[in-house]
Amino acid sequence: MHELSIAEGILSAIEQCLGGKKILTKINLSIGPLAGVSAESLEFWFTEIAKEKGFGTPVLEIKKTKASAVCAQCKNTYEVRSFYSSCPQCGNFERTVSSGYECVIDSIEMETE
Amino acid sequence: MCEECGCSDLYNKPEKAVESPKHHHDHHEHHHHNNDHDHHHAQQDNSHSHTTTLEIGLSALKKNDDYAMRNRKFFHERNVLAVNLISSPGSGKTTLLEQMATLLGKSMAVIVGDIQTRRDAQRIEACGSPAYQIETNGACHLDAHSVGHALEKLDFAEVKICIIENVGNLVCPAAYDLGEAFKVAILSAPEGDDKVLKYPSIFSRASIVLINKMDIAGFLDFDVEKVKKECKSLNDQCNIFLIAAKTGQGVEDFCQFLKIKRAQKQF
Repeated sequence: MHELSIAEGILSAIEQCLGGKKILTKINLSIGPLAGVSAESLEFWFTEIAKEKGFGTPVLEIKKTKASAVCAQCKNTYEVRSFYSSCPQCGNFERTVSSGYECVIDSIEMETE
Repeated sequence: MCEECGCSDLYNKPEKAVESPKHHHDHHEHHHHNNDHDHHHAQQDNSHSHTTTLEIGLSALKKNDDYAMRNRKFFHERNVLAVNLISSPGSGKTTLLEQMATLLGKSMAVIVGDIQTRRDAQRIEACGSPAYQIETNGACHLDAHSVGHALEKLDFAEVKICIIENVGNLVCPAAYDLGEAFKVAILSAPEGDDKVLKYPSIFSRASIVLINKMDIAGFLDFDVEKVKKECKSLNDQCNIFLIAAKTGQGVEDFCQFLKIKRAQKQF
């Protein structure tokens, strides 16, 4: 259900950007590991929903991005692979996450004459 | 006018909205028709076309985020602290709100999200606070658009705190900004002390965690210290309150905390 409304959100953001519906061939999306979005589930739903909403049958290409955080204790910057990643330097869990929650439409592709 | 249903004054059409959608649409439909009729001409069509790539760089939830910003502005203009209350079904959200309604009365307004029925809104109204029920008809979370419409239905003249009681679900509601000042998560003792790390997306985003049903926690294998430690491991800024919504234990402290946040204009 959640991925279904994310798919609808992607399409309406594109529609708003283009000023209307267009037949799309591909959508490039970036998802961070903390976004709470399942790439597999979104891919499964996406093309069907796009077709139903009048955007053709675009392929959804998902790039999984990396998240980074700064350790609250030793100030080390490290890659957060999941919510449970602790600082590899000191083992501390407390940190400030600087990226990883994003779910961004990078670009779209469409056929033009 | 709301772009979805045209029934609101709160919403203006988005800047770039649909200038001549019909024209675009017609064009595509014609194109389609041609292809459908002349399959053998498809190749010819392709030879004339090429792929164009457009950079977008927008959040997948942009539309929701735009509405959330409007809601935030609405709260800001009225000096109202808004809270997005998220938990699993049966954790005590509505019981907590009943207690809060008896303490705060008309200075609190509640927007209640449920898949079906107006039961929760009726319970809260009976305790003295205005409430508006959103029936999501199957959707597992509230979005900023539906909350924006609910805001028009309530009288905010006396309201200082607005609680948005989300659909009972620890997963999907976490991703949707509703325009709130902060998210509050409830975990009740009978759900088990292992839930914080199982549902990290909400517990990492909640500014406040209420551990509920503390009146019966002694009868359960529920390690409060473990829960506190795991909440802090996901979000070291999080404030934790131990409450029992049924008896009212700790509810006043939570209300006081919200009043302070409002006085500090943290919305």
